[in-house]
Amino acid sequence: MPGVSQEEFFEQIKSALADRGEPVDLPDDVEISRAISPHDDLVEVFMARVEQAGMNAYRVDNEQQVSDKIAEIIEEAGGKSAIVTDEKIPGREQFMNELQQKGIQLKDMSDADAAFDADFGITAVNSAIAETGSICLTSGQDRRRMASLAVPNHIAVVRADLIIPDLLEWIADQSKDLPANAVLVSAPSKTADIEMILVHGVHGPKEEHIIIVG
Amino acid sequence: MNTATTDHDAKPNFKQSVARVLADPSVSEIFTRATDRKDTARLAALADLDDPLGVRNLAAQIKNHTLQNLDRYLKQLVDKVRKLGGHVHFARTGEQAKEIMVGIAREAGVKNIVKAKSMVSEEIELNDELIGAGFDVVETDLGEFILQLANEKPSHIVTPVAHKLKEDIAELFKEKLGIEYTTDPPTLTAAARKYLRAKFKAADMGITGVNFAVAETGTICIVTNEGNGRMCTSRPKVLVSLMGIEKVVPRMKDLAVLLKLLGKSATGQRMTCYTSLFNGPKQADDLDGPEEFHLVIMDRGRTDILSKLEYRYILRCIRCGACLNTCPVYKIIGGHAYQSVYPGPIGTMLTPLFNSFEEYQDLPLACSLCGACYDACPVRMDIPTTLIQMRNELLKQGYVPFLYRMGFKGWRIGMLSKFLYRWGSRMARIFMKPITRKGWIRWLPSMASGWTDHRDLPAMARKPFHRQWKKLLKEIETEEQH
Amino acid sequence: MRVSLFVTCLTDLYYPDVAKCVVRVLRRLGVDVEFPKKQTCCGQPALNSGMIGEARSVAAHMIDVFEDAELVVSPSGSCCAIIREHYPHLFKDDPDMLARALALGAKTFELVEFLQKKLKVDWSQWNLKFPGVATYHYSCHHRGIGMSPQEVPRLLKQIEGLEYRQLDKLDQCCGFGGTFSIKSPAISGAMTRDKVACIKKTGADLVVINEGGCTLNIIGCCHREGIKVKAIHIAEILDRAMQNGKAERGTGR
Repeated sequence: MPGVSQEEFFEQIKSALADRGEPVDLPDDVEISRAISPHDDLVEVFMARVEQAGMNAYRVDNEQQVSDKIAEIIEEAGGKSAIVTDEKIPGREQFMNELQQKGIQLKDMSDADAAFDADFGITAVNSAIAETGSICLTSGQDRRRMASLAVPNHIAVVRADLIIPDLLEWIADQSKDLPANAVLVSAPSKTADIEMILVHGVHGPKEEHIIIVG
Repeated sequence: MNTATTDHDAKPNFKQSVARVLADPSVSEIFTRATDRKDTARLAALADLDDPLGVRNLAAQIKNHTLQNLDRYLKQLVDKVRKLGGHVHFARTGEQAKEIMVGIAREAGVKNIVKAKSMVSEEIELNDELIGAGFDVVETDLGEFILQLANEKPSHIVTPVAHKLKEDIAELFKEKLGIEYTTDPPTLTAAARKYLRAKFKAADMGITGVNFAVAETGTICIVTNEGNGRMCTSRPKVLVSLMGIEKVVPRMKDLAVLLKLLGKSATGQRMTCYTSLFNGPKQADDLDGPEEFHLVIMDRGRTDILSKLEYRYILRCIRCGACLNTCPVYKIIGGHAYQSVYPGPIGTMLTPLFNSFEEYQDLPLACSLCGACYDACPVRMDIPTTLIQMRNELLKQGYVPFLYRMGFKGWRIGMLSKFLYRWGSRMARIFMKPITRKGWIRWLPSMASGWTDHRDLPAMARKPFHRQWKKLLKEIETEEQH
Repeated sequence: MRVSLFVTCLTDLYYPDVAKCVVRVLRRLGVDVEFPKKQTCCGQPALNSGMIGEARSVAAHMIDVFEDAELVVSPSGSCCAIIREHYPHLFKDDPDMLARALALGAKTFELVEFLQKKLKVDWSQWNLKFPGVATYHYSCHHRGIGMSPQEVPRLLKQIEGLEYRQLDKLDQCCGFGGTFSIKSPAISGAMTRDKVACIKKTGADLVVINEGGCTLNIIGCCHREGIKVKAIHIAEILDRAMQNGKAERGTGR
């Protein structure tokens, strides 16, 4: 195998640290970096920040309304097809029926390329962060990473009680059960590479819709 | 516009490259536009935090601690990554890193490689190597993709194509992608999206850099705005991430602190669009994700910087580009003039240290020490003080002209004595008299000519303050008595 | 209160009138001023050039000269920044000198900083008056001593008859940078022309610059470019504005 052995590599680092310098402690308390306290109105902060970042936030009361909202969003955009992950999504049963009735083509989740051709991807989220207006999507059973990525429009359904205050809470959560992949989505896919002019929808979704239930 | 010296192997000549860019007024216009908004947005975004300075100091402390115990945290990271089913490789040099990457690709039998933006891969010119070895490699960040098509180097570490106008890109896409000429950024972006989608679908290997690697969990974190990073880490069956040794952080909560600063400092975003955390290859129940994960940890001169206490802290850098965005020199000369992978304030430090002071002796001097970068840096790097240190290093290594050195030796003697200071300044005024016209000097000899190449120098005052002090006191006292 | 004036070499040799105004202003505010005769330079030119040895010995001389001063006040922020920010670096391996350097740093103030933060002058009593249209150049080293770009404008706005016009790119360096201006002349020159263009754009006839180096640079470039604008130090404005105010009070209303 090319490269150097682990021993040799670490030997080099150790010798570079022959003089470690004045010891610096690893700070245990990082609360100074907190932006949102658990006492804030998390749904309100979350929704405001989602909108600020150029995503769409909707608040509904129950699963039927989730279904109505989804149908409305897809209809408005003239969507013809969708890929829906097999995971537990609030209102899933209702909106699957609704979309079928409306003649929206529902893509085959077992097809790895299906998401590339779907107009919409519909998923649940693992958690949502008020501070950054982010939704957290993780890999795992019944999910497909491409369903929230390869599609031009992504709809995420969030239970209001999944909204946590700050990145600090999210991070604490991450340390426990590690999925192969977790992603925080904090804005629609975008670039300003060409003359600083903002363009949405480079490789990921151009539109992010976040429906908050409860 | 092309400010590129595409050949970084050529012997760098900073003075020449500066002269070239300054001759073209569009350079400063373009780079001012490319930086100003981000610079302003950074300040606005940081206001999210109650005590931005406190958080920046905290980040610096975390990084300092980590660097000082780098062996321990890297070891922890390596163990954790392996436990998660990943393979870890070690490269002392850029050459070794490239050999490792080629080896991984060959062994896995891949053909098509998609790459996310990574400064560390720019350092080693990875693409050339992989393409030379027969692989199809495509950059997937829009800016990097444009550069790959144009065969140019990045001019900014976050927005690599800052130097190109949309007209340049329109021509390029017309020629290389066969689309109709258009300068409309959304249309150009859509063309790249379409082209790269096919590449993503066909890709069997993804390559990424690493923004942060978390020792306690073995988690690799990358952030992107476009989603190409997510594609590269999710679609191909083999995933390789390349990191410099300094990218490790001890704990998840350290990652949180740094993430809170990175997006805000880089582009003024509360958070970059996508923050991906990955933990080894895909798991049993996953429908997609890489089957194989490799982490390549590279030294390439970093241990050398680590070993020097006065420079170690430079490894705190999280590559946000805030120092570039705020730097008055960068705004005027742009990125390519630095003739190195890292331009701007961070580049003036890293480049001579990664290469040599001999080759890059002009870079530590290319700074007015204004301190804007120190003010902007999320990990509080005192760049001006370091550059002073590096200027001292230039002196020690013999790159300061004899006359200059002698001048300062004389100056020192003069400044240690009231008599010599006063006599010397009087002499200076007398010597300058013949070249003074109507109170102004338009020409100065020798090393001082740099001043009069661009501006005039007023004549010294007829009577310096130290010769007026006594009289002044008397005047004031008389006034006060009335 | 008694302060020692650290006039700084550039102000001493190029702008003695500024120093005179500093003294007058301080005296009017009831501050005793003394002028330690042995003072020369803070060592900044050598330090900026990486001539650490030379900088260190000149810094040691400074520390000697001002050791007994109660407070040190200077019309130049950059020299204050050197004393406060950089002397501790210079003497980090010499605990004895380090302590002396820190002690000097703790009692050294830039003029505006001294007036506003230490003396907390209530200018409303002075009926400040100064006719003119002025813009203001924020010197980089004022960042190092914790003065924001708005500190001086806040003071300028309290002066009757003075119209303040903010500069574009207010907090951007003018390109002086000490030896940078002759070591990297092309870049420095371009930066200075950019700054001067911003000054010209304001249409102001005065530019307030509280820093000898920036003044030489900016005004030298204005002269080369044929731009008619006069540099003025805040001490000069205050001196005249206080006199004007006093004169009016004196004549009675």
